[in-house]
Amino acid sequence: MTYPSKSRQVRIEFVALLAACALFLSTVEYLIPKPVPFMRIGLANLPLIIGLGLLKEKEYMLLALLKVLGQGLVTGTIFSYIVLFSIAGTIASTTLMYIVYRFFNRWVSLIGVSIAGAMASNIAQLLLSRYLLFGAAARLIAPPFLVVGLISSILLGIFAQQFVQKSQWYNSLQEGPL
Amino acid sequence: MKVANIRLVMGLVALPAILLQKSFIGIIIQATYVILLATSHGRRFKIIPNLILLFSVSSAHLLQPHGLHLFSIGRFPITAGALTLGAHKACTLIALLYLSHYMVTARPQFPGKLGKLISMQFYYFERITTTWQTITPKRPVIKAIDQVLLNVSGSSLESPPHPSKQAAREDHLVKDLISNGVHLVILWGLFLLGSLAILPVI
Repeated sequence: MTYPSKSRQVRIEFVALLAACALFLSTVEYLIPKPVPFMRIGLANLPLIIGLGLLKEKEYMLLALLKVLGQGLVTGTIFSYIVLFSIAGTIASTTLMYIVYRFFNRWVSLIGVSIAGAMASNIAQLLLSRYLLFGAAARLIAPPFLVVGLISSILLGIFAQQFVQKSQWYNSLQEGPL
Repeated sequence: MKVANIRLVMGLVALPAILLQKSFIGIIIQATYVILLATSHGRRFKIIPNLILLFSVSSAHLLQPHGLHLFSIGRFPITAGALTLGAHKACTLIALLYLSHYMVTARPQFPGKLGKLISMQFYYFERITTTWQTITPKRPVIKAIDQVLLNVSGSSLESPPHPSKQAAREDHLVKDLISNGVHLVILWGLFLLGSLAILPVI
């Protein structure tokens, strides 16, 4: 399968591959203990960051949708409140990451994109937790939640930057327009 | 109806019975029931995350005191109403979580293009996890992930993803329908008992 092809089927398969990669990383993340059930490191967002330079707008949104659905199916949370946090976080982060990458690519590195995505995701999840879980007390968990998000997003951004620079697979995709 | 989707449909029909449960005792019994249901179908029950959820949601509700004043910690009042409300909400969330776990135990199949895409995603997921196990060394991680992606993307779909073991499950159709019908009656029965104030009120 050659990804630089413009064939629709090949491109869809590529989106499924990236979504599977997100799933793989989310299962790795699922094994890591979390202080609060919906608090995530964001490893599964790596394909979303990498996909920014490879996918068209609709394909990128499809990747985000597959990530949420696949993650929900694997962890069994697809019909629970947790998936609402996942949807809210993913919609907010993918939208902002896409905008930042498309319009501010010259000035913002993947680390910046990752931070923007994490902050958007965390704020969306905090707003949701205000109505769904904690009420007004949500403001109490906001500072540690945002700090953890900031640190993990910097680490994820550095990892994504390194991956894009060093990966043979990624660079082979860059040889032609996907 | 596909066998794989019976639990999915049962869960969707049972959702309102849990969401609309008014009795605290009722929601505790419903939560216990769906936890047993999920664990008896292969899902793991982890006590710590559930306790954290119960504790954090209950504590958050204590910030808005209402109902009977139980005691105070310093100048902070602990009220029965706030405590019960928080615990009720946490139990609802836990019940929904384990109902969701149960709903996906039969690997439900989604219809249409999206269903095919999800199947394709799981096909690649299986390929990635299988390839990952064969990769040595796994450090540095970037190189290992790169190797996996090169291997997996090096070939096209060898065989189209297909519904797993569906034929073998057909004979379980009647059994699954009956058992899920019983689960539905129990969960809705508990809702009715709660609504009619037959269950004890806390």
